[in-house]
Amino acid sequence: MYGAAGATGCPELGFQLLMEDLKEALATDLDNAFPSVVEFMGTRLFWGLRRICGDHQEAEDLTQETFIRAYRALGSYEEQRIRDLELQPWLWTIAMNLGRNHLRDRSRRPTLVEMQTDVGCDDPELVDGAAWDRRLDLLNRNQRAAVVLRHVVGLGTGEIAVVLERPEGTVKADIHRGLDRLRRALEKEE
Amino acid sequence: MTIETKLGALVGGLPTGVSEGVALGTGLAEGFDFYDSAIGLVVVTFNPEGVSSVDIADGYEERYAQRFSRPLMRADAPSAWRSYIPEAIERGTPGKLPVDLRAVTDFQRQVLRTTATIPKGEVRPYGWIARKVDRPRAVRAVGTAVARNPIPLIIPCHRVVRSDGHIGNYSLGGPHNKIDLLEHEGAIEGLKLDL
Repeated sequence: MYGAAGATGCPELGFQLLMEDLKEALATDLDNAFPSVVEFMGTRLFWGLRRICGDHQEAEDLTQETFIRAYRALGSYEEQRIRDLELQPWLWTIAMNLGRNHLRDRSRRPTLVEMQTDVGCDDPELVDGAAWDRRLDLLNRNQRAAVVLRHVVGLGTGEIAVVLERPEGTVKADIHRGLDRLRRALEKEE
Repeated sequence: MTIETKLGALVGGLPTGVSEGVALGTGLAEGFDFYDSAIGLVVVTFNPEGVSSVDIADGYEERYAQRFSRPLMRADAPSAWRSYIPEAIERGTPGKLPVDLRAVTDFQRQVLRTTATIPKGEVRPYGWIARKVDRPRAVRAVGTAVARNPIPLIIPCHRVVRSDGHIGNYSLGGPHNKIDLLEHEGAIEGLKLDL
């Protein structure tokens, strides 16, 4: 797993270098490089989506679909466009756009090749996963997305503003208020 | 521990099915499943574009690896056309089933699309296909294209025979399977059952 920005807001140098290597590999040999994107970025994408949508299967579907769309998009991009991408916010923009329409489109979207064994359902949830679902349910949709993208995924507020298509000041306020609600919920529990 | 730190720790592993699902959904890997046919159990491989190959089940893994470079995973075909597969195998024509012929040349694709139009219960010589694709002298090249058909049974190359009535060769397990298939389809009469 890569080191995400976490609470500091400063992506580690190693992470930035990895992203640069990854983009170079994608630009020159998409098919061979793409599994590495899934490997390096899949974990944060899945768990971010898991916390935002509150449903394991839904998050798994969205993660898969995001990567499939990303792969198709990259296949149509010029090499330089791939090198210029901010890979993580770009991926999250795809994910959030999909998420917005996911439930509505679920019944009519083209069906993909599906694994026969539904192995994902056997994956253990985090120990306190259900408790965090309950706490995050106290936040409104914008606050929840902003808090998760900032502190679970590790995006910067400027990146979140782009992903959520909201002004950065509003995003900061959402994060602030969201964290406040979570803090109060935790205090009550104690 | 601050709440920010607690949130940062809310990350587990990637669910086991995700990487495979992405590989299948992008076509970087192909799915496969088993189906019954007139010549026994066959393996059908597919990707989001359609069915990409058919082979007899016995020993398919090694042959697939030699012929195609993509990884192979047991999977369900897309539900939009999954149900058409058994019918396409039984009828010996794609019908509504999408087939992925991106791996072959334009000429081979033309030959195979023409082969797919030969009705069940009938046979055609290689020269007939050559004429249909406007290359009447390219009978040998047609023979090569038919022999390399990646989707036998569904693209019914078993219905292509030599102009002298000899049954000709068959890549899917050998000529005995071609005889079995033509017998099953009632098209064996008048053919010479040797190469």
